Amino acid sequence: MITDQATNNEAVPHCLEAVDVTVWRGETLLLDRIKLHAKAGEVTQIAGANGSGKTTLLRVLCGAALADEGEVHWCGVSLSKQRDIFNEQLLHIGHRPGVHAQLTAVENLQLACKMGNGVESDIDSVLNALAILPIADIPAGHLSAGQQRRVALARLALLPHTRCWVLDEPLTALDQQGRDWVAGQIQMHSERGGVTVLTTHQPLSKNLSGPIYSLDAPIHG
Amino acid sequence: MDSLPLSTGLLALFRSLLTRELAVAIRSPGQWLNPILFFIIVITLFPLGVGPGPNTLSIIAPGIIWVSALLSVMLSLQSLFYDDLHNGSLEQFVLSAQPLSVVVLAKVFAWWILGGLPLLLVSPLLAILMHLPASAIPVLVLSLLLGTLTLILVGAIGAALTATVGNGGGILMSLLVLPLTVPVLIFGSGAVQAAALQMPAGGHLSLLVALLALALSLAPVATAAALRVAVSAS
Repeated sequence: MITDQATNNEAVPHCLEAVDVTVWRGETLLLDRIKLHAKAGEVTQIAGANGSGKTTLLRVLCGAALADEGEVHWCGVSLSKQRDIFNEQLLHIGHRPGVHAQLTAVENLQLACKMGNGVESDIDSVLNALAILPIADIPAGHLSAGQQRRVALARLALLPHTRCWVLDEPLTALDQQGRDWVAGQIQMHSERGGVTVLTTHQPLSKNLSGPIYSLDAPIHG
Repeated sequence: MDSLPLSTGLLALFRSLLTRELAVAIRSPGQWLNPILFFIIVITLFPLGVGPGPNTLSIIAPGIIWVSALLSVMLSLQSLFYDDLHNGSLEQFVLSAQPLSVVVLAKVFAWWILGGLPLLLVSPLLAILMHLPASAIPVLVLSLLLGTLTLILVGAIGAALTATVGNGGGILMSLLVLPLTVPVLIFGSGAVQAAALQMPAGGHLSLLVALLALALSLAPVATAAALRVAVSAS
């Protein structure tokens, strides 16, 4: 199969590409023929004001939402043709963090490991690195926003085999120590040859470089 | 991890999803106490409203018990996917490489343990309250076992289709799903009626088994497809 060759051949660097992605929100044109090329080892940032469509673009890039026109390619093959292969490589931390309020941090992460073939025995050490081990047995709904965000972000360290990270505002609600931890994880991921696409309003670490795409440019060019 | 046969991996996934659902439910008891209380309250009101005459009650008992079971299952089901859609878990499930229908099956089965099994357990007591002949009680429990599983499987399709609808989703879901549940009601109460009249109930029960097999094979796939739409629209 062509798709297997494209994604399993380590000689071919991974890349995530948006080809003329267009999304309408009712009568308004939200994303107009967006072209984006996120390469392996680079951190691709998407900038833009609130409401400019950053989250929508990320959801389209990871396949959670469909574009009205255009396609997203992973390693040169359309996502729609290799859904399962791409999902194995994908780590998406969305606008909604995917942390269940009634479950503890450990329970949330155990399931995340089961769903994504992560290493469950690492959960304690990752929670320790994130400074949330002491509260790991409290239902996540009782934790602060920053602590909940840390539970969601622990997946970055638990699923290191994933090749494509799509992160929506990963630094929101985090303190300096948390931001440094996330930047460190992203840097390690880039060095492993992973693709990262993210949005953020905070400055990222200086060690992370890559193209910045702005959605604020005139839409009807 | 990849050396495991596929079925073992899916079974382990099913088990951990089931544990997750049960852990969530234990921490929010209102979710599973409501259906069983509704079931008990509705049935105990009938002898008070209709009068305690054993003749009338035993005639209407199969229908009353079955209609109450159907409504109690349907009214509680609309929240099946609500939490997971709004906290982003469902998005994670959709974007994982694991089959979404396994997630659906685990949720449905957990819901049956919490919202269906208790109905079976109290139904013999309520049957005695309604003066249903003792010989019909095993058939009642068996028909509820087959029927509630089918109802929850079918209801899950409706819950997934209306997951993104805010208030009023319950009514919309009932409109969508109730026509599909009518056969279960007819054969379920038919089986109990036949047993109460000392007639063989095997025919009705076989049809309930057939409906369950149909729902078990088709509903998880349909629900998974509806959930993908819900996630992309949310």
